[in-house]
Amino acid sequence: MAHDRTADQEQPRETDRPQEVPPQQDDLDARLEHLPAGHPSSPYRDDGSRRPSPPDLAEHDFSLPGDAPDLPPTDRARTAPDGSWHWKAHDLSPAQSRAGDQGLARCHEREGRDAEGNYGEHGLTPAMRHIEAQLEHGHLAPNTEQFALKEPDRYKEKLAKLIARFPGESPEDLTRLIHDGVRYTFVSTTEAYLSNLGDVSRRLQEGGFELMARINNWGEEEYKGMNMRWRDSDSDLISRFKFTPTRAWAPKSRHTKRMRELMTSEHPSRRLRACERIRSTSAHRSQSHMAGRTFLNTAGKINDG
Amino acid sequence: MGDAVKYYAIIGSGRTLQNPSGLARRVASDDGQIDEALRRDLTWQRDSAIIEWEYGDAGADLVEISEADATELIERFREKWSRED
Repeated sequence: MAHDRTADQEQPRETDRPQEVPPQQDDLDARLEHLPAGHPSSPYRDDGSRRPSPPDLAEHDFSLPGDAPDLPPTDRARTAPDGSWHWKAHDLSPAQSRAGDQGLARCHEREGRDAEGNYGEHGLTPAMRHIEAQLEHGHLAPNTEQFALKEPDRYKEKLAKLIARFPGESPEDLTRLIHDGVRYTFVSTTEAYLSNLGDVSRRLQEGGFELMARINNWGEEEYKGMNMRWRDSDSDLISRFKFTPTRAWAPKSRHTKRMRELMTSEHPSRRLRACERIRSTSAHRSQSHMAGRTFLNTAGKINDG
Repeated sequence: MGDAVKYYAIIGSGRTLQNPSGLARRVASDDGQIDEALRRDLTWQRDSAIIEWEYGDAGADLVEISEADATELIERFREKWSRED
């Protein structure tokens, strides 16, 4: 019984609306209520207290075509009259929320669209479209303009998490750790992946971008591709770039989101499942993925591996 | 199986291993692994920093450190944050 519930929850949830939970899920939930307290799949701990609800899959922002949030009003973020911001378990003080707004404004300004949503010659998205037009292989992912900017409440949610994670840092500094405020994905056929990656990277360098980090996920079994962070020398803004074969880009995002959800779950059975997956790919990770991590060191040199 | 804990210094932009931004840990137990990060109130709370780093999405680098180094770092954070609060 518990296994069925686990398998069911493996599937990505399209929405958080309670009315869209399938009837069989309700039935499973009802049956799980009768499991002994402390059972890995029981909603109750050994001491009889109720475990927290499963993490919200929409908590992590991996926008994909067709995944646009459509939350009921009660689940939406709220800005209080004093300027504080609140969403789910996350809160920003008025000053922290203002820092988030300033970070968002930097992203908007550099991304390139005007107040009406139109693009001119300047900005990152026109620059990416210009690069795309020169590529022999590959192109930007569908709906690039729609997903180039991180949704404001997702941005503030990420800032709230960073504030909790980095208690000693100022919120203004932490906005500079949000590297997907502006993001682009280049896709290609598997055969053209390397040439497309090299072509785009060269054109970014020629355009004044500086490579800050790259993470090679090509050795992954469940998804393949390269994550990069490039700094725009004009604005100092760091943006995230993904390079992936066409058929792998959506599964990668969903897989990463799912792994985060599993590893931070209150439910031991879900964490165990995540551990098993990590172990199954650990050889790849240590030999190719981790070895493929490249970061700038403090002296500004690039360290491979 | 006994519990095992791995500690990671979280190194944000402009930080070094000697001056990290935060601390995360992965606790392995019979119930599976639990990822946590140290909060300003010095409690450990669930956090996806480690898995995000492993998948290249963390926005910061993580460096594994020993338990003794982690203990020392917690004490430094305690002193620093108590002065700031």
